[in-house]
Amino acid sequence: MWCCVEGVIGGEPEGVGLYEEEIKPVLKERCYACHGALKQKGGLRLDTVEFIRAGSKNGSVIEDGGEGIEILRRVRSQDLDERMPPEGEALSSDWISRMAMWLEGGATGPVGELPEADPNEHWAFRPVGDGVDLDLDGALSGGRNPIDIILSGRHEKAGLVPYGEEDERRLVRRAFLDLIGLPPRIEDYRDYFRGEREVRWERLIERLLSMPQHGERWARHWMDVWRYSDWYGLGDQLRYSQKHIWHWRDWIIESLNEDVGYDEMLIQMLAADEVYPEELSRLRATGFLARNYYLFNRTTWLDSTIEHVSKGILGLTYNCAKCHDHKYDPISQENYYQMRAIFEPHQVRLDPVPGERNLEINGVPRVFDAHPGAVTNLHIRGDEKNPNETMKIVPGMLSVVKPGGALEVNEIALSRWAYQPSVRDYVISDLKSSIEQQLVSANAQKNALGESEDEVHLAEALEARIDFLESDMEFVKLRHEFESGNKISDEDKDEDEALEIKVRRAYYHRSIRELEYEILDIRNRVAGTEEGKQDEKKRLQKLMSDKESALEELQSGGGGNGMDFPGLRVSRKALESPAETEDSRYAPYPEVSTGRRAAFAAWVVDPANPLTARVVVNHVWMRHFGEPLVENVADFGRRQPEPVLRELLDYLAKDFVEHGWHFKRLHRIIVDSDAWKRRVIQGGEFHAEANRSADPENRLYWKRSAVRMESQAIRDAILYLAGELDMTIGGPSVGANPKKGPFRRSLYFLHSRDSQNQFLGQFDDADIMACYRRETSILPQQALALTHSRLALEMVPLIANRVRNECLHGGADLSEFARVSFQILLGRDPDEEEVSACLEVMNQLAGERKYPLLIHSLINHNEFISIQ
Amino acid sequence: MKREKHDVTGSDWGNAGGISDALKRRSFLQKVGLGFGGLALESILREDLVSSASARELPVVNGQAHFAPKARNVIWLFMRGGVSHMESFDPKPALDQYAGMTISETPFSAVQSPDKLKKVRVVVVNDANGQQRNKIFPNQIGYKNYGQSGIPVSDWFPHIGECVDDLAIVRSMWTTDDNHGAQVQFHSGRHMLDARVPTIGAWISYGLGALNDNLPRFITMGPRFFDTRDGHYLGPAYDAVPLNVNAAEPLPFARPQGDLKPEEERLSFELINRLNRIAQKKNRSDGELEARIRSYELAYRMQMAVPETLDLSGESSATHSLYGLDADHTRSFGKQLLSARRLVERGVRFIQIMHGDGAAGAWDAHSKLKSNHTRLSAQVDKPIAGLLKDLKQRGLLDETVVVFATEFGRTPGSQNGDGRDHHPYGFSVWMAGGGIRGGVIHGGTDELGFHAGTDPHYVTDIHATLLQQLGLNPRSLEVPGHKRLDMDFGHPIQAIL
Repeated sequence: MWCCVEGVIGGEPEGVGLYEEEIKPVLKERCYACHGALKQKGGLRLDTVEFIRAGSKNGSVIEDGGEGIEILRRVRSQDLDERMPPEGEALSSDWISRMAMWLEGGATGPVGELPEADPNEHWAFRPVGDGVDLDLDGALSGGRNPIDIILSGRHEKAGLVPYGEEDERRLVRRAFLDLIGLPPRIEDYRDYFRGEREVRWERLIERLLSMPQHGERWARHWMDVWRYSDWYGLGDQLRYSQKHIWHWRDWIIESLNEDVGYDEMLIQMLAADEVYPEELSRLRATGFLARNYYLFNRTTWLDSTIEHVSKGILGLTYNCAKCHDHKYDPISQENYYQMRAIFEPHQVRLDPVPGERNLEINGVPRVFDAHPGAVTNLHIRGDEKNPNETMKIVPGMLSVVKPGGALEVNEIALSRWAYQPSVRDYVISDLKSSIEQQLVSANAQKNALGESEDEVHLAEALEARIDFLESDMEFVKLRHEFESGNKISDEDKDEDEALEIKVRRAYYHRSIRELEYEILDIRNRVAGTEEGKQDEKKRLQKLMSDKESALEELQSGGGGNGMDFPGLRVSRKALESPAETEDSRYAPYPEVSTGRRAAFAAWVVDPANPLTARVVVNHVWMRHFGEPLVENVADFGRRQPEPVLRELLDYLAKDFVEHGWHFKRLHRIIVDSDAWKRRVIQGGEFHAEANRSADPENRLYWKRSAVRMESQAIRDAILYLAGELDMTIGGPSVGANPKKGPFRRSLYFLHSRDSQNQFLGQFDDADIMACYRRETSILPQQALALTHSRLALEMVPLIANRVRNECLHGGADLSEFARVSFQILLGRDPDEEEVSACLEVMNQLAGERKYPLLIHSLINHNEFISIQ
Repeated sequence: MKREKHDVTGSDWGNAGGISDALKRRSFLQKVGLGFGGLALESILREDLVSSASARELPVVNGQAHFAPKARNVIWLFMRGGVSHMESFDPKPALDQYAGMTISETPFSAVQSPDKLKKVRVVVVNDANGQQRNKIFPNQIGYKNYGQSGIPVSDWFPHIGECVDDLAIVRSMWTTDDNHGAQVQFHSGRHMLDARVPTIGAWISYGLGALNDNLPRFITMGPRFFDTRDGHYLGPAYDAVPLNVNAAEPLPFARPQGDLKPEEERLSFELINRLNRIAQKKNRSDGELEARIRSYELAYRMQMAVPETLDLSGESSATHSLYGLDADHTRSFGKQLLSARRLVERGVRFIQIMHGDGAAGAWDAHSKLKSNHTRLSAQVDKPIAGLLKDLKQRGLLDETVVVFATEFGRTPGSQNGDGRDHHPYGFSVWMAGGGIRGGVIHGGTDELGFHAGTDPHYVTDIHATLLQQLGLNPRSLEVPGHKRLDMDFGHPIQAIL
């Protein structure tokens, strides 16, 4: 397995060189996680030669203590309990012999070798603004945009000359696409350019931010990050997510349009059931958690919750600590299960909405603490079959970041409205009106009957049904009165008991009426037939004996002893596993909530938390500029180097928090900046070359980069320009591949593993498993979709007609048609070469078809599907 | 394998910088859909990439074989649902001998000792399936010995039996998922509960690139369920392109879905190209625009090439009948396999064909195993043998590896009286062609077919074997920023090479 040759190989590095080139990289890769700044297992650190020499708590690891040199013995051991590193493959025999050679040669290291940085000092764990100068007050008073103040200082230092401001027409297109996800139409340009030059830009931004389409545009972005998915499973079996999860989508749209603070949004998403237990509208927000529902395995379900809450909101990879302590970040395995404990008690249920009693048709998926006493165990090596039952896990978060690891958890007492949805006024009034409607229709039916024998029988049955419905109504009223009662106090006890007896009597009355009606109904159907009615006859006998016993029960004192009346089933818990019985889904809900998620939400949005605001500002920045400030948007841990523009990130994060976490303020700051308005291409390449060599990747934003539009924006743009986009906001998801209109905006499509729009699928649609950042692929299939799809081919002639209507003489002058087409579709005028190319090709086609031909080409133009 | 350097007019890649430039360009490559041919642009991008970083900084020599390859293409046949290994390629007379007894009553009760069962990780807790089945279920089919090697093959696969001297049968596969997520695991090497990682087809098309400018380099046919993507962190450009050869429209959007006459289409593509080229002159450093232009050129050529490739009317009637196109039960799969041969001829690297409908996969014989396997084996046996014979007679088998695989085997014990349950502890696959030795049995299970005891192989050993035959070192295919586990790499099965 290993080779013991320890000779010196000619020409190979030795001493310090050997250490730096061969030894240290492997130590770093394989050993530092446990023997470095993060952890020092056995008291041993290996991140500098000095530490290596210092050895472990048991003494030297590089001197022969009798049993050989410890470090070599351990890496060579074939006993897996002894071998280092314990995970993964053994180190190569080649490397081990180099290590031996280096030790033999005296284990010399470089002068002034620095140890690994203290994990607590990692930039993202430090408070926002720590170590950078964010004091822009002087400069800001000049009315300059803070982004530009920060960037221009950096440009000066780097010798960069930024590009100038983009043409106004293109900026208008950029603003429309960025803020509402739709391109401007000809009338939008016209309105804009009619405005006064000094104020029209600001007015446009305010107008766009106030349009309901703004909420739709940005909702789709957050649906990516928060992993929106409609339910799916196998056939009718729901396995993932929840039915009617679109309520959560609508909540996102509305919250963004109302500019609810991000802190408040997070509180609602994580714990609306604890913080606003009686507000159905806010409870919709918890769809964020309900989306992680998984039928088969609770651990898998909670793993997704932990992974994506931490990645999406905190920029932390908690998932890496499920089986062992995190290799890079100060997240221990215990921390992982402490986070699990936050979510351990929670479950999902469907609550009724006003006006609909059938949960299959509508209902709000929301979370609640179903198991307040649920215990969390650490799973040894992440194996759920092997829980560590001796270790007490309490809810908590990692301690290195403010506000510290402890959570202030207070149990929350819930109102009846919250834990017993059957007492809600709207539920009862919906139920009553349903009974009333049935009464009206039964009466109408009865009154329409004639005198024949059959009709007389039917009238009897209807009479019985009316009796039943009336007694049912009586029962509903009494039950509601009883259920809504507050806790029994001593003086009211008698009264309550009397009421309870009344409800029970009403229940038996109602049940007997129901049986009588069913008996008559069956008799009518069975009458006169012999064959094939055996089952119904049996059922009849059963009903009659049921009726007998119900009557007996009623006579023996009104069902007072131990007999119960059923509660109203209006809310339904999700199945906790396929083995769960249907009945337990309607079991009463706990009257308290643990308060764990509310405490966690407070921790997340604590202004001292260094991660939450930075992570979200980075997401917003990326969606405006195409590139984020922090490269890995879902991991701000130690593998993420300090961003080049750390002060910009921190400034925006600080401003965001200090001004109420409002997204619209952040959008305004960004779209108002010179940085956002710069050109993608500058005429005259003089500076371009110099800039490119100083900052080839445009890290300092000396120009704008074109951004490929998301699949949804491409489809919506085509429909919008054709005048075919249905602008209805919100509501249930619609079929993913509609053959004909009305065409809703793409974010309303059913979006799940089993349901995806085929056109969107070609352009990097959101991956429901994880989509912190959209792919922007360039595939030939995209060319086929944009040239061949029904969408493109049906909308193109409509767009062509609209363009012609904007031209003098209906576009008879082809160069004018080309010019207007460019303006509308690409937001700019064509140059001469482009006009002549268009004319040349158009002229090869006779008749009217040349107009759609040009539009067809332009929707395939790279500039049409990107934000330039 | 040496490719010519193609000239790309108008592309300006600026100065070749250090590592970060190279990485950036790599991430650009990952999103550019050269999954469709794209040989020309791809090679120049890659040469640029490779030359801009020293071997140490960027060990991946992307797009070129690391050493001399034995094979060029792969045809990957995957039976969804789980084929009974005992009733296909791993005969177990003991099943008849002990039929009706519980495993603990046989001399082999140790197979169920808990430490031998613990490697399985359960996805679906308390599922009705994926359980231990204790009562031995007798063989439902007989065996015959075939060829010079005399290797036994069950009577459900007589045509494949005729080709046995070309097959290397590996009877000692194991996996860790006891449910059908094992399909994902067989393709990617990772359990369903772990992160999704690129599949073997994605790695091969990533590692080797295209041989044809007009066709995808990685194609999938037939049903998929648990994961329909391949590229994952390599990017969507490495997802397989789905072709449905039995449908009127084999490739999505390949033909206009509305009113667009061929002449108009030609003119539109011409104008798109001209306008994008004009735009490019103003921004010569825009690699994305260059890629976009190329993608339109490829799309235009591809929509011609795909129908031509999938048009089987020029094949002789002998060929049609060789693949079973003349019989109803074999036609659908036969068409896929004949198309696969034509795709191989045109340089498509990896053709993945999934057999067996339904979410779980049709081979999932929890009950009525005999009628299930009788029906399904009849659908695939003749076409597969036809493919092997056809590849051989055309000299293509030397450079094409054919893999026959399934996600797991089936239990020695009975389920529902006449079926078998999922069995991840031991099962069989075979490979042929591309330098794989023929007429070989490798590895084995115990007397009951329970555990892969002799020379056991985890699923990624199949991947490693393929990579080696194609001239790739799996460890040099690592991508920065993504940790591959030891298990992900696998070890080539040297004994069959």
